Amino acid sequence: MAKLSLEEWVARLKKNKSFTANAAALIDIPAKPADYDDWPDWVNPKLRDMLQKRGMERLYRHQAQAVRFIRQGQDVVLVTPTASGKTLCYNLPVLQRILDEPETRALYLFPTKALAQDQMHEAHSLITDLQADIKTYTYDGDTPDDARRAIRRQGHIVVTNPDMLHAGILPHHTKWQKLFVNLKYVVIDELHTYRGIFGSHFANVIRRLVRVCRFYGANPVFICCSATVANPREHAEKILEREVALLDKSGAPSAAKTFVLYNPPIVNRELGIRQSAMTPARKFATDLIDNSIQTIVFATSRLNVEVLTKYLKDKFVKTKPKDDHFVTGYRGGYLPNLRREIEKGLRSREVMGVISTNALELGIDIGNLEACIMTGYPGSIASTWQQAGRAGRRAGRSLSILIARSNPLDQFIMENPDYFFSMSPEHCRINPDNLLILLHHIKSAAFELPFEKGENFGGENLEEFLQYLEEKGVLHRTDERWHWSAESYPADEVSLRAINPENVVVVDTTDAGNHKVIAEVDWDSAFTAVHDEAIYMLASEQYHVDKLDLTRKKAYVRKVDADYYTDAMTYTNVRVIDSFENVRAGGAIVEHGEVQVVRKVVGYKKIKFYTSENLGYGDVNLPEKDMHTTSYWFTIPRDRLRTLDFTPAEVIDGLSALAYTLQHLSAMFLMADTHDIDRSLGDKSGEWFVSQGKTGRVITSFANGRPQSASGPEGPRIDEFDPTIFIFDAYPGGIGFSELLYREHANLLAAAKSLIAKCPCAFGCPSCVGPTLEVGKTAKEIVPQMIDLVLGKG
Amino acid sequence: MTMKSIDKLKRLTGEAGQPVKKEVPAEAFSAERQAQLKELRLRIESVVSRSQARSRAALSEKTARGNQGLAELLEGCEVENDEGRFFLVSRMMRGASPHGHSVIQEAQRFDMTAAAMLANNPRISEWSSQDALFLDTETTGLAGGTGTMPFLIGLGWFDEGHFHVHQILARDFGEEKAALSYLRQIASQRKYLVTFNGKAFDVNLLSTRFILNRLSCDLTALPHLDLLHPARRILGHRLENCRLATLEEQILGVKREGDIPGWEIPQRYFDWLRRRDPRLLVDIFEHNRLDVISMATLTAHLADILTARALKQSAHPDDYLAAARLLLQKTGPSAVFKILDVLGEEVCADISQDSKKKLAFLYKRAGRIDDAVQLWRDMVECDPGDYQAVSELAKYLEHRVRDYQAAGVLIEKALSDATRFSCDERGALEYRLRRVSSRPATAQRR
Repeated sequence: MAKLSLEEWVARLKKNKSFTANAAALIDIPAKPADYDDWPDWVNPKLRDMLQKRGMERLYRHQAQAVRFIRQGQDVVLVTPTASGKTLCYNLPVLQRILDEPETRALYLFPTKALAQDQMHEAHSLITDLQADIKTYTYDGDTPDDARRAIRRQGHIVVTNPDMLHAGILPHHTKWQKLFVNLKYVVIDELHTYRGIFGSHFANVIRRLVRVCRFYGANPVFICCSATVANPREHAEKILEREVALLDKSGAPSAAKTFVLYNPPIVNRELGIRQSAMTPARKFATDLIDNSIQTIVFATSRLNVEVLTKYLKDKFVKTKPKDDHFVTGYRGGYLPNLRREIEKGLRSREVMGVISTNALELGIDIGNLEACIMTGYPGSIASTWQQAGRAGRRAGRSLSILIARSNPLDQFIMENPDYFFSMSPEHCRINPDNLLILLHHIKSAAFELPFEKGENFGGENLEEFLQYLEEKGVLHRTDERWHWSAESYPADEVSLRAINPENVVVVDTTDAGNHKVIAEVDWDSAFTAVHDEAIYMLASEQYHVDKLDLTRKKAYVRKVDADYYTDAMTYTNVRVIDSFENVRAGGAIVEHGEVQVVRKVVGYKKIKFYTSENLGYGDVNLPEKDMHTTSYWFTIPRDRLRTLDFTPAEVIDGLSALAYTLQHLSAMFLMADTHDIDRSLGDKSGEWFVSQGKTGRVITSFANGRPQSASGPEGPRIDEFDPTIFIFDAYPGGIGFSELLYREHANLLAAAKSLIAKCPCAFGCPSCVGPTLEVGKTAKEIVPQMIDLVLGKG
Repeated sequence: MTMKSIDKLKRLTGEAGQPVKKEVPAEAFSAERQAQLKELRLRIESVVSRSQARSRAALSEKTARGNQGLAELLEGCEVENDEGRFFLVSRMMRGASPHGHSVIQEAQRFDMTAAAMLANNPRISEWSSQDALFLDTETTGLAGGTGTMPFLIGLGWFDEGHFHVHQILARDFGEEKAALSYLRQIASQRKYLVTFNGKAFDVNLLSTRFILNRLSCDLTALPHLDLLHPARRILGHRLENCRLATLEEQILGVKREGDIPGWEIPQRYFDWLRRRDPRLLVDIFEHNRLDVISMATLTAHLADILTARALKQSAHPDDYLAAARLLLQKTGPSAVFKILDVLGEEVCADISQDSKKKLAFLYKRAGRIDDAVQLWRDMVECDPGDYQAVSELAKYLEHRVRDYQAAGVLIEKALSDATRFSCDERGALEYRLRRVSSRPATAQRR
């Protein structure tokens, strides 16, 4: 059978009835012509000739505007789509300035080492063509020691990542004297990745950078580039703590694109269960790759990447038995060499299908892919467009298919395609003054330069922090200055990416004489991914975890051929520490404040491949993890709940259902990632909490200091505590979501009621109150009554 | 009234327990009560500020007492310069004073060509031992980076047969600039630096501190003899590690009693900053002083080995071999003759088969083939199974002397006498034997 081109494939798809019946939207986005501008007259002729030889006859309008602003010393943030030539916006003024003043230095920051390598090569090839004596280097953990000295002294453009700036450059700034004294430009690419906890750390690293620059009398221009987000300027200004000019009108041409929102068919109307998003993803990907259309599939989790990779490999093993990389997985845990190999294979089209987590969302050069399949809403509009952008970066038609899962957020997008296509993407939120984060960076900053009385750092009262650190014996005050007075190296005490910088390495013991490290798992994921007896999947191979050794930070695994995978079960228990504000609204007490969250992995489910059948359970015995964060919560007094005409078990199920709906809607209200917030049902003291057990919902009581089941023979009881629903920040210390939710309390509940009312299911489904198997058959009936009760309309 | 951030922070770090009940907001009180509260607050503030003033006075008194105690205990004095004050202890060691196996005035006579060779810097040979500035610092940590301060700088130099040690102490962070300024002044009077691991550590750190204090001084521009690397090359083969303390004990014969372990030093200084008890610093001064003096005698010891002044009691033949290898690599064959001569006198009774092998190799490299042959013959006599000696000797006979018969006899004997050749070695010897056997008994030398 002749192979179809993408145009033909899309045309055929549009005629397919079973497809159109489930397509919530199909939009053809037309191609857009380029908008050019003239070269500024100050551009060095050599530089202009070189760029023109590379095919840049003229500049796009946004490029011309950007280089003018930067030339004038204006800090900017550029927001333009992928492949719109934004790297030239900074490379041009930087190279020009170095040609004018050869002492000039520039610092480029990228969120990952891989991106830094990519951009160093790009800048290097420009310089080679320019035949100028300009040196550009990457500086990261992999840079050999003997090269570092030369880079510090001679590198005109130093390309690095925030982690290296934090732990390797700033604490040794005197070695970088030459760079700091002459620093004229700081480039921050992929600015939108610096949000949440990482962004809050990053803003503090910038505070430290600016402080060190000031010591050397430097005042560099900051050039930020960002994917499309709702608040690029506000975000840039929050990170840089200064005014920034926004440039967001792209003059670059764009290719035609077909964008499909696909909602898998309902397979069980009774239970409101839709076909798994994995099924159509597998079918579309198989068919596209069969037609030699290079395809990227994004999955929302590590596990899904592995499961899908296995499915697709199984499929193509017959036609391409020898070609191991024809379709392949790609995610953070893969070792760097393998990742480089896959990237290369994608550029050379030896790899025709890749299944990835959002690791490939950023600008790693993988060439022009034609089709993109997103298995599940990536959690934010910005991410969705970034992922879709991986298909058709330069020319020709491209295709993106977003396949919905059965959760309220995905379903909301399917029900309201206009919302998706017209809505501005998410806000980037950071809280650089998160007290724990700020404290770490004040320590690091004091190590770099003593603090002087009257100095500012962050939005809190600096002197209080300095006094606190003095009491701790970490700082020593002499006259009006605070000096670092400890033996430790504070930058090593904190990782910018996670609260816990530890990793667990996965050791393959299949060959008894030859143990091999096959992957790394971050500390938090280790509890759910490589607990004892888990099936760990890597490159679609299954490994059985024989032992997770937390003290040695190793998980010992051996290769197996199992027909199932495992999914961890956890419980979450929240205790109120401090209420910042509270109000009695209707029938509930609404509050926000500080909480302690305890999580524990208690067991796992074995799930069969393809059928997703539950094959059984196992116990896991791992320590609890403890975190302080901020939360929004409301409490419904138990006597109020008694007025509802339902059994206590049904009431508890209803509350869990309400929490489920609220968590998903909160993500939407905040325009945040679903992973940034979490939920829990219990009471304010943390003595009681509700979790999903092996056989149904259980209430656990800590009344005697030990967890014990509080469910009597007749099922759970609610006459002993006042149930509270917590929606909390998933980061220690919080990043400011809970206060926003507190203010939106009434709107949030009203939206939940309307979502449930509009949902076409009979008794509740994953798209509204959660799966009936988990929340019971009365949830859809009881939740609206509860909402009325909470809002005082009951 | 909102809670102070620092109290919230303490809760996040788990330092503070449960929050106490919140205060009732002031608005809840009558105007009269509010006025009373305001007055009460003012009174509290004045009490607090008076007690702060008292504690500041107490602090400055404690500091003064500590400084005075320090001056008495260490017989040092406060020095003032343009950048402020610091504390200085200056001592002199007379020429006749012993230090380990050495005596100061002997140590002063080290050979400058050798010193230049140790430093890998020919400029040093133009100067004298009096131009050297021996330097060692004690720091607030070993991590390096901008947050580590060298609080005690020990300097030493030879002058008219005696050895002077000046120890510069920053009694607090605020005295660092004056201390560094004094270091700069002393350094400007000397021509080159001598340190132990100073390239990687002390000088690096001092450069950082000069920049942080906005003082110009490029210590890195001074010629620098870092003793760590040559000490490791020449003496490392028989030491478990190459720390200065180990060298003192095993090589220099310096016995330290009650020496403070290096890892304790930063905390002692932090304790001094808080408690101002001068006894905390006494051990550190002594530790630093001995380090500086040992560097001077170590320099002399290494230079003596290089120049083969005489076989020292405290040296081992292998030290000379290592030194000869170093010289051969850096300057060429002629430089090693003297060492080889001295070693030759000692040979062969005391040195091991392994050392002989190295020595023979050095003879060969230095072009003294007859001496090498002599050694190889000795070695074969002691141990007919010594592959290297047999094969070197056979090569010599085959290629230089062209006495194929003698070569053949040698190899045959070795193969029959010895059993411990490896397969490869035996194979190589047999191959050579076949080759020399196929040639006429002696060749005509052209």
